Amino acid sequence: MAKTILAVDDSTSIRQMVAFTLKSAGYTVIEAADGVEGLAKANANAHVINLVLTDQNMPNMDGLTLIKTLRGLAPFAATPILMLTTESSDAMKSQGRAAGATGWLVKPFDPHKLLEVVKKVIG
Amino acid sequence: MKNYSRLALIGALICGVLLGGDALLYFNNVKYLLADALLLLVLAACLGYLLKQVNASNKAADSSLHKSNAFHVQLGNEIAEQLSSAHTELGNTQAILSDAIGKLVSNFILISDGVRDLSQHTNDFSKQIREVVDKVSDSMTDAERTLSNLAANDRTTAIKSNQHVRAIMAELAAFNEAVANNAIELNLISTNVEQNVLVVISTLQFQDMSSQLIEHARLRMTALQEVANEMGKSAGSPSHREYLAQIAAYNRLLDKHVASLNKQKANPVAQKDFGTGDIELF
Repeated sequence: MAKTILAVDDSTSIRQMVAFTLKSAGYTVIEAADGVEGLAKANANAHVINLVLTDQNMPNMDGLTLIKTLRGLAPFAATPILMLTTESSDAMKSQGRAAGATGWLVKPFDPHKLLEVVKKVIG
Repeated sequence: MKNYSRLALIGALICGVLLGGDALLYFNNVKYLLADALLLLVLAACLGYLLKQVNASNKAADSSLHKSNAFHVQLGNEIAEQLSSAHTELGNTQAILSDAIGKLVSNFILISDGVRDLSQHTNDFSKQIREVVDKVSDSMTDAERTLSNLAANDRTTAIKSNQHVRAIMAELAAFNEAVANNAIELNLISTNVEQNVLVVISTLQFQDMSSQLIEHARLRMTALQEVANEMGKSAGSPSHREYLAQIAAYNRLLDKHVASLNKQKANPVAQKDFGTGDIELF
């Protein structure tokens, strides 16, 4: 059965390209446009989501808040969560690590490298 | 300047009182009295000149203040107008860019998926064609064998048929080879498309970032526009105190917007080159 990834990004283009890259490697992708929608879709699909891939700067709810909220929910306590963002400062990365992020990817992403990391994290 | 005038007036009054007292002391002496009267006249003339100068300075200061205020109002209006125009242009550019990116991404995904499907289907068809060709080839071999057996009975017919079968088999082999070559070529095209896909994905990400930068700039322009609008609304003839209060109000408004913008969203793009970003697993 194909593994499922929740991709959260407010940019439609980036979200579509992430989905395109992941789908081409056989993953099932659920898309969300911000943290609030991401949280709702995570809750609705908690039993199938194997990985969460989220942006940081988004309206309504940012990536760090989404990670903290998900980590507080039992089904996502151990689910890998990767941050895919333009933010690259050490301070932000530290905050991400403290919030419970599994890894930090800086945009623009290389589709091959993204797939390598995803495979490494969820197989 | 009004304070200086008051001081000068008070000074002149004190001088007048002192000179009056002095005159009384020396009342019997006409020379002293005359000298004191002359001194009083000189002081009065000085005081008059001083008051005239103060008045002129006041008028000049008021005129400068009005000119300065009018300049700020005009500047505010011009900045607001320019910002409004630039804001609209940037908005249009952003809308066009977003629309173009959206269409490009959709078309790109559609085409990439199409090429991938085509490649997959071609491989499947090539395999099926090869299987059919192999089956036909086997049938032909059987037919050739049967014809060889018949050769003893009708040699001429058998030879002709055999030649015909061989010709068909050669054509089939050539067709099979052509199909195989086409499949290889299609796979190469598919690989090239996949490589180009990587470039397109990176390019589109930069275009998306450009769009985010434009939005970031527009947010700041909107804040500046509000400050400029406030400058343009300024009262016609403010006093010195009112004018300073206005400047302080502009600064406060600007500080408020800067703080608000800093809270809203950090600069969305921090790339220093065109390379892809770092990856770090915690």
